[in-house]
Amino acid sequence: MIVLADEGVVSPPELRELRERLVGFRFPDGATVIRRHEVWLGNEAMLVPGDADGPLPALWPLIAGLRGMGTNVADLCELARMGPDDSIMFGELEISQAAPLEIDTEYSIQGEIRDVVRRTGKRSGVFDVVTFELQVLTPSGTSAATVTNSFVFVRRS
Amino acid sequence: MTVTAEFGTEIPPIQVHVESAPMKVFTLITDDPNPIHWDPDAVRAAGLGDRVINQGGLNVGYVLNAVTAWTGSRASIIGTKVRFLGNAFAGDDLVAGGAVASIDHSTTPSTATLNVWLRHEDGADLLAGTVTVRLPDSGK
Repeated sequence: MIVLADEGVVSPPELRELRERLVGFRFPDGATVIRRHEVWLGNEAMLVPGDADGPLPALWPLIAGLRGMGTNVADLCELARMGPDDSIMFGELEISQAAPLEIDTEYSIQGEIRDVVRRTGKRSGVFDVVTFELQVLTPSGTSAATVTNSFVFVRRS
Repeated sequence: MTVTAEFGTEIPPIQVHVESAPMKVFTLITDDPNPIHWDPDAVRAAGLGDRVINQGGLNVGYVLNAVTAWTGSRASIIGTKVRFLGNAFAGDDLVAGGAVASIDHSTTPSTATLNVWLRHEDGADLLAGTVTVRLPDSGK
């Protein structure tokens, strides 16, 4: 139990239990297909200039990974025991890819939680950083991209 | 297309005006249920103000747009590594930019790694990191 001067008593989940349960946890395998209309809409949302029929923007491995990862952000929050007053933020993102993803291709997504660390900030108080890696695989099983995300769970519950 | 890439070369910055409608589209494309991107009441309930908050992915996208405008190809990007430092809200005006931090001529084609950033117009940092690109027409 951690006492914060201005915000009363905060009881984040026990770190050891979180680490034992989460580190190495594999998400169910998933898959996704990127459709042409999604690329068009995505380009407009991302303010991507130029031809919608050109190579897919380099953000698509993140998009494909998150929506095809066999779980979803809500389930991740539950895994991390996110409380009603906790909040979640993007911490860090790393994408490596040899070539742009392609439309109408079914990509398999394999995901695993790599690490959970707890930190304390002056403004944010206690927060847990959950890092997970997503492999975006082509239909032949070769790697199309690797996406590593860190989600920050700010503990206020 | 040929680009001039040497240590310190700055890419042309791009201006971005953040709006709520693209956040809703991005919510659907990413299947992200977080209501702070589309429901001002959820933002207020979270104590984060009264304007919806841009997705981190969109913020990264602006930086990648600045990089690919410089290289001339969306296919040039092979690596992205960023840290999120703050929130962008609907109505905010942002600037994305970067500068060449290193060049690797040992590969074919040559690659360059850029330090990249996204800031509010007032200079507050929202995102910082690196993007690695294949350089076009590098003569190899």
